Amino acid sequence: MNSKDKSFALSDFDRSVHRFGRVTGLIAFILMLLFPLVASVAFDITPDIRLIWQPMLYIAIVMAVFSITELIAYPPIIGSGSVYMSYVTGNVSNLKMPCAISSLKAAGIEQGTAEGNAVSMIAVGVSTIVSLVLIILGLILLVPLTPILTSAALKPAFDNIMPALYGGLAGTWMIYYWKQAVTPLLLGVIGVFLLGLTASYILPFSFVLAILASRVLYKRKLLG
Amino acid sequence: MDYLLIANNITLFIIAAVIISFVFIQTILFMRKGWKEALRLGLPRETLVNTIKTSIGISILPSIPIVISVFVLVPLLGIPTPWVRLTVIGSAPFEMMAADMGAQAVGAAGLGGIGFDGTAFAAALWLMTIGGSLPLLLCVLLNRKISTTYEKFRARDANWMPVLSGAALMALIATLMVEYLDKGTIAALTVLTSFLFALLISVFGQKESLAWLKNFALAFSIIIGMAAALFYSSMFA
Repeated sequence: MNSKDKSFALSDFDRSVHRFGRVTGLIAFILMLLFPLVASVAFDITPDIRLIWQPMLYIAIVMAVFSITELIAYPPIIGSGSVYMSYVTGNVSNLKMPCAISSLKAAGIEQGTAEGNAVSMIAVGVSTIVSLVLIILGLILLVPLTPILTSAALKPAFDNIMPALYGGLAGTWMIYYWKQAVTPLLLGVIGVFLLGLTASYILPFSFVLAILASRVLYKRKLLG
Repeated sequence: MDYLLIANNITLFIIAAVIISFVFIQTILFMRKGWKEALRLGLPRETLVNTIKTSIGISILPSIPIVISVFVLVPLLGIPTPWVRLTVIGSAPFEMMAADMGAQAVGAAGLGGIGFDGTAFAAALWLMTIGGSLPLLLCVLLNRKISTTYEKFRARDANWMPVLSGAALMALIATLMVEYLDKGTIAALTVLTSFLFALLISVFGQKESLAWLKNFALAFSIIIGMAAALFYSSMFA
C-alpha cells in the first residue's frame, strides 16, 4: 500500500453501507439457498448432483461474467448502497436504475455525487417495494387478472414495455450526454446489427470504450 | 407424487414469505440510511418525500412485465417458487432457461414437459437459485473493493466522477436500446416513438411553466410507447 492509499478513507456513511450491505447480503444469499435445500430434503426429491453439476457450473460461469460487468458499471451511476439493494432484488437495468436516475433528474440532483447516491437508495427502495407489492397483488388477483394481462388484444402493449422504457430513457438522457452517447451507440449498432451479438456481450466493451472516449474528451476540456 | 403438490406445499409458502419479509426489512433499513444521509448532506425533506412519490409513479409500469412473468410461471412451478424467484432476482427468461436446464439434466423433457416430476422440480429450483444468487454473492465479495476504487478516483479528481458516471450510463442505455431496435419492426418503432416523445418532453420541459412535465417523462413515454405498439401491431397484422 502506498502513501496515497493510506491517506484515503471511505466516509462513515460508505463504511456503514458496506458493512450493512455485506452482512444482510450474505444472510439473504443463505436464505435463498434454503429454498431449494428445504424443498429437496423435506420431500425427498434431492436431484443427483452428478447429473446437475455441469449445467450448474455453466450457469454459474455465465452469471459471474455478466454480473461482474454490471458490478463495475453500476456504482458510478446509482452508488454502492443501491448496488447492494439491487443485487438482492434483481431487475437493475429494467427497473431500479431507470427509477433511480429519473427520480434524481426530477429532484435536480446529479447522479454519481454523494447526494445522488443517498437519494438513489430511497428511489431503489421504493421501486423494490412497488414491485414486491404488485407481485403479491398479482398473485391474490391471479384469477381475475389473468384474462387482462394475457389478452391477445393487449399483448403487443405489454410485450413492448421494455422497448418503450429504453426509448424513453434514451430520449430523456442522450440530449444531456450526447457527446458521450456517440461511442456506445456506434458500438451497439456494430455489435447488434453487423455482428449479431446480444447486449450482454457488447456491454463490457461498450463500457470500457465509452469511458475511454469520455476521458479523452474530458482531458481536452470538452466535457465536465 | 404430483410435483405441483410439492410446489404449492405450505412449507415452501412459509420459506418464501420469510425470504421476502427479510428483503422487505433490509430494503426499509437501507432506505432509512439513505434518507438520513441525504438530510445530513443538506437536502430538504420535501425533496425526499417527492422522490418517493416520483419513484412510485416510475416503478409501476416497468413492474408489469415482472407480474406477467409470475403469471406465466405459476402454472409450471406453483405459486411459492415464482413468487420468491421474481421478487428476489426476477427475470423470467433467465428463470425459465435455468429451470428448463435443470429439468433436462435429470431426464425430463423440459420445464413442465414429460417426466417433469418432483426431482426435476428440485433440479429446476437448484439451477434457478444458483444462477440468481451467485451475482449477490459476488456483490457481497466485490462491491466494496470496486466502490472504493471509484471513491479514490473521486478523491483525486472530483470533476471526473460525474463524467465517468455519464459514460457508464450511456453505455448501458445505448446498448440496451440498440438491442431492442433489433427485436422486430414493432419493437423498433416503439423504441423510436418513445425516444422522440421523451426528447420532446425534455425540450418543452426547459420552459419554467412546463418543468413539471419532466417528472413524468419516463412514465409518459412508456405509456405512449405501449399505445404506439398497439397501433403498429394493428397496422402490420
